[in-house]
Parts: sequence; structure tokens; C-alpha cells
Amino acid sequence: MNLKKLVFFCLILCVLIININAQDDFYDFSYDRGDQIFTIRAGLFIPLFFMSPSLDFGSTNLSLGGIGALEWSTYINNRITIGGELSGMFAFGPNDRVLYMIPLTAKIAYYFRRYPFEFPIFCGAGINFTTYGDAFSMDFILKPGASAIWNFSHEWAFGFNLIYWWVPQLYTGRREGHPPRNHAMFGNFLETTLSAMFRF
Amino acid sequence: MKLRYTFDRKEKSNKIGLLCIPILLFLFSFLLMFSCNDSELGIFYGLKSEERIGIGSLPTNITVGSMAKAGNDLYIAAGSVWRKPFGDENWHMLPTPGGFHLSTSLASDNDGNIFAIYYNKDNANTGFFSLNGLEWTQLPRPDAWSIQSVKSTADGKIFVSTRNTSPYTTDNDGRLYHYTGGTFTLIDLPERVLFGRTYTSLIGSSFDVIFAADGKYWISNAHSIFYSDDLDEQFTLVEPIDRNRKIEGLAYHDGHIYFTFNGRDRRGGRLGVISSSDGSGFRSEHPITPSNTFLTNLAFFQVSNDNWVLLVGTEAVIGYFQLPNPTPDNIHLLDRPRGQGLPLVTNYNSAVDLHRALVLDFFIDPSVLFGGDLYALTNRGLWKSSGNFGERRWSRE
Repeated sequence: MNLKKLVFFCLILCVLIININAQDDFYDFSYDRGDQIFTIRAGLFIPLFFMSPSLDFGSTNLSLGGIGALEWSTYINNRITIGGELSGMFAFGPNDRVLYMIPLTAKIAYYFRRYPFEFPIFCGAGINFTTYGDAFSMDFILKPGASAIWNFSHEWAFGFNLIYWWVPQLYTGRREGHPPRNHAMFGNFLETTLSAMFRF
Repeated sequence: MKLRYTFDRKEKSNKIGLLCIPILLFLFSFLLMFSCNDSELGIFYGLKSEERIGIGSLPTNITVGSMAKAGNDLYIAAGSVWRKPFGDENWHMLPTPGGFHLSTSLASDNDGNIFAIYYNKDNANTGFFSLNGLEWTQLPRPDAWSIQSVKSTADGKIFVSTRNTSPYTTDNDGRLYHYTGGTFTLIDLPERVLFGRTYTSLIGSSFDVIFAADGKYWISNAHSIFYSDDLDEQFTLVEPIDRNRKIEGLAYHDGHIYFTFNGRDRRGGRLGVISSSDGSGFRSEHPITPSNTFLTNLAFFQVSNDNWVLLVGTEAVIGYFQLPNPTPDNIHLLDRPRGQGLPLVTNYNSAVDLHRALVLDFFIDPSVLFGGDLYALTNRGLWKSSGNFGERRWSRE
């Protein structure tokens, strides 16, 4: 029974691959400056570790979280896009308080292509708004990442994204009532999302 | 055959201007390498050291009004009276006296007796009780007014306050009695003071009383602070405060009385203030930041030989003041942690919050010289801080 299912699955896969390869002869996407992309992403947010400037590593004590994002970008040329995105994540602390981070980032991407797939690598930088309990912080954020995108049509594409969130919380320690310098910590997180892209 | 898709470029050239936004955002973000944080604890730093709070045997939704230690057993008044026998990990609810069902105040004397105030079932009347074994014995009343609270001082004296709850009076009138040997002695507090050409009433019904290391008894009654060396003599007024402000609690340290009161700032927002006095009328005020903070009681906690911390009860967290050498002129104020955690002493290893509880009071085990168990009495259960210096942890009782 299982063997039959496996054979059937392989057949379907072969048909799809043949079909895709057949299309490869007919389609080659190219984009011009001004073409735009709207992307929506959702998936899992994986807290990795905190690191102090003295390379002291520690657990984030956070649960697995959720993430969603909206992104707009436009082509500079056929290979490079530039745009911005608004994300939002949540994860739970040890005592069920919720950590929210909402980064607003600018993003530049470079696309490698192997039809029908595209493999952009990108980096975003911007402002990250963090709340935990009653505390609020505004930090810098850097988001390097890579995606694998399957083009369903010339307008629609679907992808899988791995994006690293690097959030430094650095303090001068000079202002009374604010965190001292030794509270500096680098937050390291991983976003794993599925995305839907619409190009227009 | 090779098809080449290109998109219609009509009206797109003007959208190139939108590119300026991400470019500017990208450049601007690098200016923000240092975080802007509104509390004194880094969020990631606090998370890294946060630990799961243990849950004890008490319900988490009770309001703990007062706490006492008799012998080696601990007692709390939290609706019911609960007892934690020495060596037992769990709290046990004591039976209530017949006809009464709610207790919010208890105290113990030096002989190991427990006294409690109980409300009857329709909350219309109160009774004064002592505990014998597991049975309550009702004691006589000091007057016809409603008994409000019972407190004890460090020298084991018992004080009972009453309040005039008559609907025919608008005065928030109160009396304070010293209870000893089955009799009540009215504490003689001045009722009014001449300010300029007018008399100001000093009557108030929200008492706190402490016996301080200077050998004086200090009493606050909502709007005034008094002291005396002798309970049988009239107390001396230190200074009345603005009647729009209400004193919440007293603590004594190194020649000065510290007290919390709440009022309104110029914008009408709530303003919690810590003030201090050496008894001669001098007072320095330290508004708590951020504003709109409601303060409750306060206590000094000795963490080592020469290291004291002034703890202040607030909403959500215990505010704290690092006072290595506290003097009224040299008070070192720290910002309220604002729910970030409960950083006791000089480190943040014990950072937890109290789940948005209102910290009503503190109880410090009197049998330990310093660094002993510290309890926070809240409207969401009883919390205990214990451990060695620098490694204290909070847990729910």
C-alpha cells in the first residue's frame, strides 16, 4: 500500500518536473525598473540566543513564536530590488508575558534565477519597536536573509524565507533611570516563513 | 520560442520617488545604534535572567491585607486567615469565627498571640478576635465605632484603630488604641493645630504605627505624622501635609522617618511621593518617576551589614531605592522598574515581575538579622523573596 502511494507520488512529481522543464523553454522572466512587488509572509519565529558584547551567550528564555510581515519593493534593474517592510512577531517569556517586536525596515535584494525558481538574498535595516510587559524599547535591527521562490505565474510567486534578526540593545549608561552599559545585549532570532508575492 | 514578460511601465516612473523612503529609512536606522529604553532594565538583559516563578499553595487571586509571625509560624489575613506552620511548605486556611467571614488585618504580640479583625457576613460590623489553637475568641470592643485594623510594632505592642462610619458624619474620623492586658488605652493625638489664624483638623482614620530604633513611636493618620517616647502621653505633631494628600505608610531608618503619600500633580495626574523627616519639621520630597504612580507602604530591608534598601509598594512592581548611605539630603533615587522586573539590591538576577499586582505592604522576617525572607503582600497573592545576597529569587507562596 505504501509502495503504491510512493510510486504514485513519484509519478506526479515527474509529471510536474517535466512540465516545469517544458515551460523553461518558453518563459524567462525579466523585470524593469519600476516594476513592483507586494509580498505577504507568515510563519514561525525562532528565538536563538542572546549575546553580550563580551561574548557571553545565554538563552532567550522565549517560546517559539509567530511572525507576519508585509513588504513592498520595486526593481532597480532586473536583478536588484529595493523596498521596505513592516513585520510583527510575538513570543512568550518564562512567566507568560509576551515579547512583541515590530521592525520597520528598508530592504535591498539581489536575485539569482533558475527558472521557475528565484533565489533572492537580501538585507534589511531599520527600526525595531520592542515591548515586553510594560517596558518599551526602540532599537536598531539588521535582517539578512535568503529565500527560495517558485513562480506560479508571471504575477504570482510563492516562497520560503529564512531571515536572521539581529537586534542590538546597546546603552550608553549615561542617563539616570536608563539601563546601564552592562545591560547591552545582542538579540539573535530566526524567522522561517512562507510567502506569497504579487508583481505588478 | 521564448516569451519575454515585461510589465507595463505606464505611470511607474513617478513611483520611483517612493524609493527615497526606504533609502532614508535605511540610512536613518544606523543612527539608532544605541537603544531608546524607557526603563532602567534592558529588555533582553531582563529576559535572559528571567526564571519561571514557582506557584505555591495559596490561591493567586487573594488580597493579602497583613502578615504576622507568631512563634515560628506565619499567618496572613487574606479574606480568610491562613497559617503556615514552621517546617511546612503549605499554607492552611483557619476556620472563621461564627457569624464572621472576612479578615483583612492581623498582628502578633511578643507572647506569640495572634489578633485579627473580622467582618461579619454582611460586612456591616467588625469584631476583634484572638486565636487560641485553632479557635477564635472574640474580645471586647474599644468603642462603638467600626474596628478598622490591628497592627503590631517591633516591640510587640498591639494597636487597634477604629473609624466613625456613621452616615450622619462627613468627617473621616478615627481613633487609635493601644491594646494590652485585655484593655484599650486611647492614644492621645492632637486633633487640630493652629496654622496662621485658622485651626487645621488633624483627624484621620488611616493609621500606621511603628516603634523605631530611636525609641520613639511614630504614628501617621492619613494627613499627619506624630511621635512620642511614651504611649501614655500626648503625641507631638511633626507636620501636617496637604489634606489632598494621603499618607500610606511609615518606615524608619537612621534618625529619619520616611513615608509615602499620594496626591495630584498640576495636571491632575496621580503623584506618588516619598518624603522624610527627622522629627523637627524638615521634610524633603521625592516624587516618584514616572508620574501617575500610586504608592502604598514602604519598608527598609537590610541586605548586609551596611547595605539597606528602601522598598516601596507600587502598582505592578515593588519600586526600590538604593540607599547605601541614606540621608534626606543625599537620597539616591532610581526609576521605577515599570513591570520589567523586581531587581532587588544591586543585581538583576532575580528579575521577575509581580504579574501586575498591587503591592500593598511588606513583611520582613524579624528573626533574621539581615538578608532573610522578604514577603510582598499584594492583591494577587503573597510573594516571597529569599536566597543569598546577590542571588535572591521571588516565588509565589
